[in-house]
Amino acid sequence: MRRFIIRRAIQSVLLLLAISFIGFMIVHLAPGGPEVKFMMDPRMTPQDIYNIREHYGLNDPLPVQYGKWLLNASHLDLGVSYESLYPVTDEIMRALPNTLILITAGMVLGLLGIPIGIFIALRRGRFTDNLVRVLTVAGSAIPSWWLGLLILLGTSNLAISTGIKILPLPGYNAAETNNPWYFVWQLVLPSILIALAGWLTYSRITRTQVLDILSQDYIRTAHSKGLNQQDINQHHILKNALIPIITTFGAQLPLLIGGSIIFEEIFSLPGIGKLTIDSLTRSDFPVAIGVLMFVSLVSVGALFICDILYALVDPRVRY
Amino acid sequence: MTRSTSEILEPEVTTTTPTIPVAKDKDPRGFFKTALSRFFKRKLNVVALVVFGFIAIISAIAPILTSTFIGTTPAYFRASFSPAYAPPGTTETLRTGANVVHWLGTDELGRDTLTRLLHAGGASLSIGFLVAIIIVLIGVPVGLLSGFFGGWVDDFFNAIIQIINNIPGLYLFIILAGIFRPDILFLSLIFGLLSWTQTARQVRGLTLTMRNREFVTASIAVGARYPRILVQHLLPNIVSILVVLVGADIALAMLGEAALSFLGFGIRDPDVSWGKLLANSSNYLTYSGNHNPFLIIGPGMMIFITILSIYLIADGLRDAFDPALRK
Repeated sequence: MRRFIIRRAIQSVLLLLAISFIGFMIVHLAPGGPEVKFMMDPRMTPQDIYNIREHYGLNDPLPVQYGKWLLNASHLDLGVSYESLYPVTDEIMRALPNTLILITAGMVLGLLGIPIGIFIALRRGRFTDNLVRVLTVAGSAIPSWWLGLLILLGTSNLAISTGIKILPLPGYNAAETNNPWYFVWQLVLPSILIALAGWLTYSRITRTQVLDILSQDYIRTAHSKGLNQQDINQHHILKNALIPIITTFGAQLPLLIGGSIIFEEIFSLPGIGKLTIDSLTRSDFPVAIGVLMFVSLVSVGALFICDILYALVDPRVRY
Repeated sequence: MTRSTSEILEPEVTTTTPTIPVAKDKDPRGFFKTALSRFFKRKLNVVALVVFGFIAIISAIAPILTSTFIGTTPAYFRASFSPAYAPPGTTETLRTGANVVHWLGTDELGRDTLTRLLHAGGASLSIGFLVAIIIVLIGVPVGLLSGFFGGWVDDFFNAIIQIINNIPGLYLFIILAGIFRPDILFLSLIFGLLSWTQTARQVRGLTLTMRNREFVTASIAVGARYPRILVQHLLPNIVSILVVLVGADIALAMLGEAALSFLGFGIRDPDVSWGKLLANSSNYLTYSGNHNPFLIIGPGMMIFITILSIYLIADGLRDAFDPALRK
């Protein structure tokens, strides 16, 4: 087990190095840079541009730049934003809580898909099962952010015509009001929409998993030795069905983090996704690469933990 | 309790008896023809195919359609804002709801919504299919090779797949798209290069289960070369699964493109896609002047209907190719 964890940890570090190298190269091969925001100034001379680039260390050869960046990044110094001149880590830390709360809320709500999956698997072929299967297909064909737009369209029309505000209007920022309940109010719809993906995925996986377990010999044995259905459900089915869900949970995380970008945009939450979009529209590359690295760190770390949990929970996994 | 026990046990008996293909059952019409006739027997498949075909055709002939029936030319739909094509007025008055002239109303620049919806289909659909082609071109060979040879080939491709899967995709998309400002082809290329991993894994798994089957051993024994075994013996066996995977790939690519374009990093002006039409639409929500809900409902409905029909077609084809899979 120890060897497995060490090997997996080394893998994760190598993975992060690979991601950082690719990300760094992409960002640094791009046109633009810190001098862009001064380009409109007619007084700028080539010497000035050279000086600005020198200041940020952009005149060094690319491998040297990468080495320096990596060295700094290893003690959490991701450079300075071209735009705001704040350290990138500060920018990320300021945006992080919003994204973290949104994703956690969505993730926890999404876990409700597991009981749904067990429920419909035990009622295979009946009305609820078929209904959920139809909803699953329909649900995976709808972009969930568009669903959010539709609901906002409805509620804001209602708010404009009658003055009843069920949900906050777009552009509303609860952070300015300092009232935590307004923040919760703003988060309700986006977290449900994020959870929707979880419901679809977890219920489907749990359903197939439970159906698979139901046909196993040990379930028949449990029945024949006279255990009641509830005991079998709890001890034989649920425990075994949860094993692959751990992996799915880990694999979902990068998708969730990615998906939060679009919800932050629609529901005007100033989180990591908004930071990325802003940094790219302003060619603020240190922030862009910093966010990419941070987000990759989170998802690589989560997958690492999930793999170890998986090995701990399932004794059949060989390390 | 006894009832539920028998219910649980009964399906097992029926599902575990495999349908053994007997020679006399073999349809003389051949594999593809029987599969197709099986496909068309289900009404839902036919409906999905007709709906998808309709959307594809109206998207393809959008310029002709709009200029004949709505009287809007491509120049009109492409114009960002030009007094020659739109009546004078401010944003408030230019955006109108549905009326006799503009069946689905107009947007804030006075452009006809229906015209733009029809024109947008081309980009959305072509990105979906281009991405699917790229995914198949990369994912299938990679999956076949790493499943068949195993060892360092498998490890090598696995490492690449791990790297791609560990990066939160949308972030990398946005960074790439924000930096390189891609056109439709380049956008599909980025999408394809970042999303072939699922297909490769599935193909690898299937190949792995078939590698030790008798027909592979037999072909090795008679001295067939590896390319021949891979292409002629293994590939046909994964077609049925591949159809579903391709369907999912097209759908996911279209959803991804819509999300990216919505954020302003996908399709760029003057081109339009369904996702692009939704960009900035959250600005319409708080707006208190003329409302046109079709600006939000229209593109989303088109995405929804198209992807739903693609899913249904792929599912129907899978069932038709491999009836044993149907449960």
